[in-house]
Amino acid sequence: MKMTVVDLARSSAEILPLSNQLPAETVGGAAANLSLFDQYRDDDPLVLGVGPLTGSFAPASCVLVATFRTPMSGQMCHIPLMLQAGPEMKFSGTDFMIIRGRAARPRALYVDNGTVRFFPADHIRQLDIPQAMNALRQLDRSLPRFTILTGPAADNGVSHAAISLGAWGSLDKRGLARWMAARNLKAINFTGTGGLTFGRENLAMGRRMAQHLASHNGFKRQGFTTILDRVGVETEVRKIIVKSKKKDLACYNCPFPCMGYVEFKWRDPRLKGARKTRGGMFLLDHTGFIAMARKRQADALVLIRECLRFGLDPSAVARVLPQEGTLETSLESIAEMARVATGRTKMDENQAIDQLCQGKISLREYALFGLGIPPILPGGAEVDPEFWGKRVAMSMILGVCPTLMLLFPTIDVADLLRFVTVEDGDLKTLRDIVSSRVQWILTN
Amino acid sequence: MRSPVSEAEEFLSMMDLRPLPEKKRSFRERVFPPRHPSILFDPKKCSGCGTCEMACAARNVSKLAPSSSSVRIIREEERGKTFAILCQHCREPVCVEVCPTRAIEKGEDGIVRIDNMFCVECGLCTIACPEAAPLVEPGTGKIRKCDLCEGDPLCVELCPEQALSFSRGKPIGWIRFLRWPVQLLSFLLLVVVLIGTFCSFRVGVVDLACPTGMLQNVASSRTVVLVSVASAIALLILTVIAGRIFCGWICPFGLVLDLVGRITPKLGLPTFLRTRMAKYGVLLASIGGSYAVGFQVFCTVCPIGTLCRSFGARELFRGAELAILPALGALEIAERRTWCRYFCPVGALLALTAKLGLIKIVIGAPKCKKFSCMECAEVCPMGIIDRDLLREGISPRIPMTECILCMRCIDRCSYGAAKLRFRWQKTALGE
Repeated sequence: MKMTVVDLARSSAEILPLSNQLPAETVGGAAANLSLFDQYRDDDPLVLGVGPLTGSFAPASCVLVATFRTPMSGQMCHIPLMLQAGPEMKFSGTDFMIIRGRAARPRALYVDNGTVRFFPADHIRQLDIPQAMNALRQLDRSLPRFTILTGPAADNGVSHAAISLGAWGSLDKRGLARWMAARNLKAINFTGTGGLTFGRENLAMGRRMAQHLASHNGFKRQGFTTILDRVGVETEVRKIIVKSKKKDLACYNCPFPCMGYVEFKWRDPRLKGARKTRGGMFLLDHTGFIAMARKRQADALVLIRECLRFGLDPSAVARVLPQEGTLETSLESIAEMARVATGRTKMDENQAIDQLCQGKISLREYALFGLGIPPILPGGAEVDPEFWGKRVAMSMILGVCPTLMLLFPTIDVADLLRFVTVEDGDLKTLRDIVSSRVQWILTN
Repeated sequence: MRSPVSEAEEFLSMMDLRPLPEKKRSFRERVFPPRHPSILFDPKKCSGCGTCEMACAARNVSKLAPSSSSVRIIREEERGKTFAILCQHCREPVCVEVCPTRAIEKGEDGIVRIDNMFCVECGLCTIACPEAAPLVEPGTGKIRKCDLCEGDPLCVELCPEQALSFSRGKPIGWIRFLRWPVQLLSFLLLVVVLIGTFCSFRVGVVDLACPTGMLQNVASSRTVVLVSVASAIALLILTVIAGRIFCGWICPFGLVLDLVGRITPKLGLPTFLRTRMAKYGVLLASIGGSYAVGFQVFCTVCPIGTLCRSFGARELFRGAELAILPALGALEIAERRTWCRYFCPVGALLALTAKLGLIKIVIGAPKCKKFSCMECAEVCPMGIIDRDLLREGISPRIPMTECILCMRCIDRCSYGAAKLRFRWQKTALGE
C-alpha cells in the first residue's frame, strides 16, 4: 500500500510506503483517512482514501472517501466519491492521497502509474464544467479516466459550490469544492493503469453476491426511481424521472444501477425566438433532485442541469430559489449565485434535511457524511436509531457504495470481509476492528 | 538469368511461413456459410459499471486491471451513453491482413486470435481495425484482443445487466430453400400453365391483370373498364400486405434475372444511369405513350409479358419481340437486378403502392455487427443496404419501396439482426 503526500505550495509529491500498522488498526477508507488527517492536522489537509474492497470483485466497490474539515462549519466530514473514482485512484498506484498547502496559481493534478504531475490550470478557471472537462482532456494526450474538478461557482468562492465527478455532478454538499478552490486546486485526474491481485474464490463470490442483489425481490430495479421510492417521495416528484428517464447507469462493478441519464425538452427563455430543444443530463444526486423537484416541479431538471454546469449544489440552490418565478429569472438567479457568494442559513438547511430524514437520522451523522447519501432506512417497526450512521460508516471504511449497503441491509460485514481474508480467525478480528472504527468515526 | 530483385522477391515470399488465408469462398462455404461467433453489445442495457473490463482483465492477466482487458467501456458523460469497444471477429478481418508477422489469425471456428509469440507490438492492427478493438496495454505495450474466452466469454457471464450476449452465429437460413421453389413454381404457373399473357389472365373464375398493363390500357383506350381495374387491384393489395413480394418471389422474369445474375460478372453501371427514379419515368412514359399512340406501348416489350407469351415451340421463335429478354438479361452484367432497380415500370407502380405497405424489414442496431459483417449488403439483389452507413457503424434503414422482400438479408444475417416487422412496430430490437 502506498500513500502520496502532495504539497501544492511547492508543487511536489512524495510517494511513501504505508506501514502495515495503519490498515491493521483502521482497515482503510474513512477510518484510515481520519487517522492520516490527524497526522497532518496542522496543515488542514484533504485526505483521499480507498477501502480494502475498493476495486475488488465485491459489488459496488467504487468508493473513494474524501475526508476534510468542512469550511462551512469547521467539522470533520467524509464525502463518498463514487462512479469509478476509487478504483481509478487505486489502479493509478496510490491508496491514500494527502493534499496540503496552497498553490500560488490554479493547478490540475494528474495521477498515473504512481506519479503525480502538476499542470497549470489558469485557463480552466471560470469555464463551466463541460468546457473545463474538454480543456482538461486536451492538457494531456493520455485521456484521464476519471476527473474530480470544480466549476466557476467554486472559483468565485460561492458557499453552494460542489465538486463534479467528470461532468456528472457529485454528492458534495459540505464545501469540498470550496476547499479545493481555496487552495487553487482546480482538478484531480486519475488514470489507473495498474492492477490488483485477488483471491481465488473472489470471482465466484462476487458473482454470487451480484446475482443475489440483482434478483432481490424486495423492490424493483428501477434505476434512479428505486432510491426515490425507498426515500419516500411524492408521486409528482417521482413522475418527473419516470417521464424523462433514458438510461440507468451504475458505478464501478455495481449490479444495481441507481443513477440515470434523463432527457427533457425545453426552450431557453434567455434566447429570443429559440426553439424547443432536447436537453439531457446525468443524475446521481438523489437528495439534490428531491429538493429541487419539491421546490420547482415543472423546471426541476432544467434547473438542476444549470446547477451542475456551474458546479453548484442543487439542494442548496433549491433552498435559496423562490418557489414562484419564471424559468428565465430562476436561470438568471443560478448564474448570479455562481458568480457572487451568497449566505446559506443554517436554519433553512436543517429544516430541509429534517424534512428529508423525517427525524429518523441524526442531523450530525447526516452532515458527517456530506448530506448527499440518500436517507434510506429499512422497513419494519423497529429500526435501530443508529442504523443509518453505522451502515454508512462501515461502507466508507470498506470502500463500497453506502447507497447499496443501505438498500440491502441484509448484506453482512462478514460477507464483504470475505473478499479480503480467508481465515475465520482473521475475519473475526477484522470485523471487530471495523465495528470499533465505525464508532470512532461517528464519535470523532 | 534471373535478376537479383526477383530472387529476393522469391526468397521473401518463401519466408512468408504464415501466408494469408485464401479469400475465395468455396462452394460449400457459399451454400452453407460458416458460423461466426461474436459478443453482441446492447448499449441500451449497459449501465457502464465496467464489470466486463474487470472480468476480462482477471482472465487475461489474473489481476483486477481494466487497462489490461480486451474490452473497454467508453462512458460519454455529456450524452449519458456507454459504448463497448470489443473485437467483432469480422468475417474478413482487416487486422489479419495488416499484421506484418501474421500474428493474428482467424480460426476455423470463426474466432480471431492473436498469437503473442509472433506479435511484435507494432500496433498496426489497432490502427487498421475500424472498431479499434485490439487494445494496447499501457506500460507494457502488449496488444490485447478478445478471443471470446475460447467460446465461453466471462464478461458475458458476469455482465449484471445482460448488455453483453454471446452468439455462436445463426445456422444456415431456410428462407432461400422456400423462395427458390416458390419462384420456380410461379414461373411455371405464369409462363407454362396460364392461358393468356401476364397483362391479363384468368385463374379459375377470377380475372387478374398487370396493374401497369391496366393503366396503359386505360390510357390507350381512354375508357375505364371497372372489371379491368378490379382485376388489377389484386396485385396492388398483395403489395400493400406484403410489400413488393411479387418482384422477389413471383415475377418470372425476376427468376430469369436471378439465374443469369449468378453466372455473370458484375462490371457496374455508369453513375448517370444509377438513378432509381428512372423507373418512374419509364412508367410515366409508358402511360403517356399508350395515350398518344392508342395501344399499350410498354406491354409489347414487357419482359414479363414476353416470357408469358413465349411458351411453346412456335412462340419461342416469334422473332424480334423475344430479343428483349437477352437484352435485358445482359443488363445483369452491370449490377444484380439492374432492370428491376432502375427501369422496370411494373416495379415502379408496386414501389408506389409499397409506400402503404404493412410490413418492413429492419436491421436492429444492437445485434447488427455493421462494418465487420456487411453480409446483408452483399446479398441484397437490389443494393439498397447502404454499405457506407455500415462502414460508419450505423445500421441502415431499408427503403421498403425498393425492397423486393426476397429476405436474403434475413436469411444471411448470422446474428439475427435483420427482422421482418409490422410497419407500426417501432424498430426491431428496442433500438
